Amino acid sequence: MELENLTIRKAAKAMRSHEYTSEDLVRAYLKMIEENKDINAYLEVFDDAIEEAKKADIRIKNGESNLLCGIPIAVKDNILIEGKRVTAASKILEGYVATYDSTVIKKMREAGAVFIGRTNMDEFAMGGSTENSAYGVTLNPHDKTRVPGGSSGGSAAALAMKGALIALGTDTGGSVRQPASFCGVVGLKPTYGAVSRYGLIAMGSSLDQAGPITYSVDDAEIVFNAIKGKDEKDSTSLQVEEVFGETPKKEKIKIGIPRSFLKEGVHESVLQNFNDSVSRLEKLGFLISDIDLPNIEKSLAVYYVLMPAEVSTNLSRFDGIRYGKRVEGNTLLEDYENSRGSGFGVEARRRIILGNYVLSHGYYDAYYNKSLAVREIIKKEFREVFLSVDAILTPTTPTPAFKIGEKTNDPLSMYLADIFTTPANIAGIPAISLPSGFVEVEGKKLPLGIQLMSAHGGENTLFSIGKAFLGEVE
Amino acid sequence: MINADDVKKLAKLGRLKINDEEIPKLAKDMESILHYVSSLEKVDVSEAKTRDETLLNVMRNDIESHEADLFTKVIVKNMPASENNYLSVKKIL
Repeated sequence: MELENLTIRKAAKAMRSHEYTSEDLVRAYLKMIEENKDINAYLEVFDDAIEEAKKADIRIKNGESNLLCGIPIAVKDNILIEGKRVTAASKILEGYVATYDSTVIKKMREAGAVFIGRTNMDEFAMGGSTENSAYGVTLNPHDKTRVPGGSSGGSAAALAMKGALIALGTDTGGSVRQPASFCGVVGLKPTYGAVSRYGLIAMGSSLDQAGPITYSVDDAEIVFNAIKGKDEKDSTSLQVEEVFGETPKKEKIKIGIPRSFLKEGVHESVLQNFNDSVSRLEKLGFLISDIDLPNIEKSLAVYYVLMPAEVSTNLSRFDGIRYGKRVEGNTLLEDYENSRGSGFGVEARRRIILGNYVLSHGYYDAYYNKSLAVREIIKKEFREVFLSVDAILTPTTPTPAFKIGEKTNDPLSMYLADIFTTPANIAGIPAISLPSGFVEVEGKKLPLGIQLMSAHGGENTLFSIGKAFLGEVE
Repeated sequence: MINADDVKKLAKLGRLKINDEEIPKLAKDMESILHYVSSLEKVDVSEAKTRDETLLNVMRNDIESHEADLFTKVIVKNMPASENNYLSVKKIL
């Protein structure tokens, strides 16, 4: 069985033409996971994966036509699967067992996908390197001295080491796209509301979206279509086509480039690769033009006010009383303080404290309300730009994957790795990271990526451009 | 300026026990992050819609969402300490 260049459609076809079974496929991936244990992509491999694959094989035998039936999928450790442990890579949820299926899992389960394990991540999805995991860093399979990106670093590394056919991640400020870029795979953050957040461990509720990490754009589209849709259990979820309209198929797709946004702090190799990618897209027949988004560069600052504010609120539920880890003190207050103080890692503590600050009386207007207002300005600028272009192109990240430990002592420099990815979360628009080549650094070939953003509900535009760019035949 | 007392107070509000040794680093990190986000001061937001115009609450209907006892067992199992299906906590009076 050839795992190289495998896609959902190829595997679905092979399973139906009796080339191999889902069980064979799952066993092949489990072998890769075993061989790549040092990568630390998985926190747990599910002991019922083979059993579930056998069930999928029966469904296929009985004529199941869903392409996802029998497809092995890796799941980020902040997505609830009933009866499985889920920790968000935090000590505070040690031993916690999910009491229900998240909506994305319910949908993938109905489709027949086989969950093979839960993947490592930055604690509570806070970080861009998986170095904030309480269970050790994940290594980048392309260069084991470097990070795989984050926070969905385990999911992206699982694909890069051929340890799953598809993966699910979550993206609050770039956590699907940035690791996809660092690991040389495709990552999609859908329109805010396109995919239900029910059963995801919340970080920034106005920003979070679950999305696929895959080898191809076609795979990302298949997974997206399987998990999207209005869900009564998430009041922010939408039937996107109904709200924003269907994206029309166009003869000539226009792509805009916010040139002034690409100047500072972008690695030379990234800029070179980006310009090459622009030429490739032009040759493919896309119309390229420069656009102006005057306040897009403020997205990261807005993000670092709104996100910690939402984090400090969302993480207040972890109190050591009702579930998770409890560290006893002499009083109830000490129970809280001890459980939270020892249960949360450094980055979670930093963001709770920062969130409390920006929400304090006296600073609330200057930080929180101001950020909400700037967010509206940024959204307005995007709306105006999407009147003249169908998509916006940037690099996914300003640098290739950085070294493990390189940024751990300087949180701000870590945050700046999200400069190109946070705008899509701030505006709630869809964005995809596509592998765009490699740069050789210290004898290792490191993947690079480009990012395409589109208007609300414009995922189809991203898929069309993405398939053309990666040479996938439609 | 963020000083050690500010950090202690904010940690207390967040019910977080922190070590004295980590306070200077936390204060320094907060300073640099707040300095970075202070660039927002310069953005003209006079044309932005207000929060009340853009955000609304959506409530579910106030009905019984599922039959009683459906999740009791699994939820109690996740409790750090329990007795006869009740959550055990410290006396507060």
